[in-house]
Amino acid sequence: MLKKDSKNRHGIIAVIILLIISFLLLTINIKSGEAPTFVEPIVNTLISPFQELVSATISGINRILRNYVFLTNIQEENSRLRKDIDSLKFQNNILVERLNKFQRMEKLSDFLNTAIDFNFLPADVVAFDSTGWMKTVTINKGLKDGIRKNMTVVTYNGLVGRVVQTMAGYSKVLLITDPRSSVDAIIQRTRDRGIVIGANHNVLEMKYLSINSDVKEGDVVISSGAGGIFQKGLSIGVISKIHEKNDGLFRRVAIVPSADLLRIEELLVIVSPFEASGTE
Amino acid sequence: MFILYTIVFTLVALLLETIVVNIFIQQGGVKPDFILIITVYSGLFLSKIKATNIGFTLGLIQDALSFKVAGVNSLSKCLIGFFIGSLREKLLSENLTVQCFFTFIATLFNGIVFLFFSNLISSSEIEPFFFLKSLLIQGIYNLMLAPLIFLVFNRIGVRYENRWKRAKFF
Repeated sequence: MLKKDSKNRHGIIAVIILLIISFLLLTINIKSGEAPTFVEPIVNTLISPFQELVSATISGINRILRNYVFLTNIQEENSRLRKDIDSLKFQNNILVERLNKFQRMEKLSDFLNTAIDFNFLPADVVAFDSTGWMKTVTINKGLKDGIRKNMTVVTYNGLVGRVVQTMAGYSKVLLITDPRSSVDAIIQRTRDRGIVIGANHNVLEMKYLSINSDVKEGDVVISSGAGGIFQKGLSIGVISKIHEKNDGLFRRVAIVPSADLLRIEELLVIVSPFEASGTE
Repeated sequence: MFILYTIVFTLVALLLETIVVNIFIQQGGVKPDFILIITVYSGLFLSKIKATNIGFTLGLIQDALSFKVAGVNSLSKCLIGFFIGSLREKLLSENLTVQCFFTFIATLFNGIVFLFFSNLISSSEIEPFFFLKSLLIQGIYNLMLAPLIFLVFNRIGVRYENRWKRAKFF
């Protein structure tokens, strides 16, 4: 009986201590902003190599199945052509944006030649978010590869997110679908501005769009470059739904991301141009 | 031996959670929570203290592998381990309905704690309706997987029963 009581007391004391630790961590989280707590680098350094190994094994098996078992030649050609299309789409988007910019500048007779030269660093996704509710991925490039916090991450299809934490060999990327992500954006056709935020599933939402905006389904949304993190002209997605006008000053639209954020494997980190001081 | 098993199961669960499930199972961004299933198992089949410690440790690791949610999962899983562990002696842990019921309730509790604290920490705008819908889907995923995982753990447990009974965690 006494033994049982003592066990119960120990149990309650253990829970209280662990709850206090949890609340302390929560407090540190609120106070420290985006800086990692001491636990994160330790756990990531220990677990990430295993994740990279498993991820590489699965990718390797997938590749073997795709390339050798199922119609080798057609698959390879298809894959190459798809990559070409993606690459051309990306270039086309940049060129359309440059053309628009050129036309506007020409009208003002004040053309400024600001050529956009992106330098990419390719990286592989080694793990996805452990909670399932937040949308982050871990990539196999870190501080030693020149990755810095707030660098933009893309695929050839469009914007993926930004680097939020860097460790020696790994980095965490906050996807644009995460509810904590916000990107200053413009609609390519109408030049209306808004803020694209993550909705925690594979659809984004554009807020603070003018109620008078002549927006249509299928319009392309691109990053505006304001805020100092995301470069201008990166494709965010295509408008899939326009919410009915209401009495407010703004309207909301749903956007399907250009990049397939549920099945990303390889990413590109824009290492230059990059402004380390940028915040959004 | 018990600690070694715990480390191996944790590693396997984390690899499943962060890689395999994302590639093969998840639909619309919703996936099962293996860490939660292990915590529920600890509560139903081990002891209150072990379940609390396992829930806290695994939750903390899960938090560290995400971004800016440190303390959220450790808190919810610690409480889940404690409460289910406290009820263990009054329950028929082997009963399938009991296993499914507690897994589902634990999923809902974990989700609500997560929604509350993540909104508090990062002032993110998670749409409650969508979140609850996803939570129900995750609950169904978890309750379908939990009995299978419990069965595997118990098979291993029977093999090493005496060692597990003597084992002390922390």
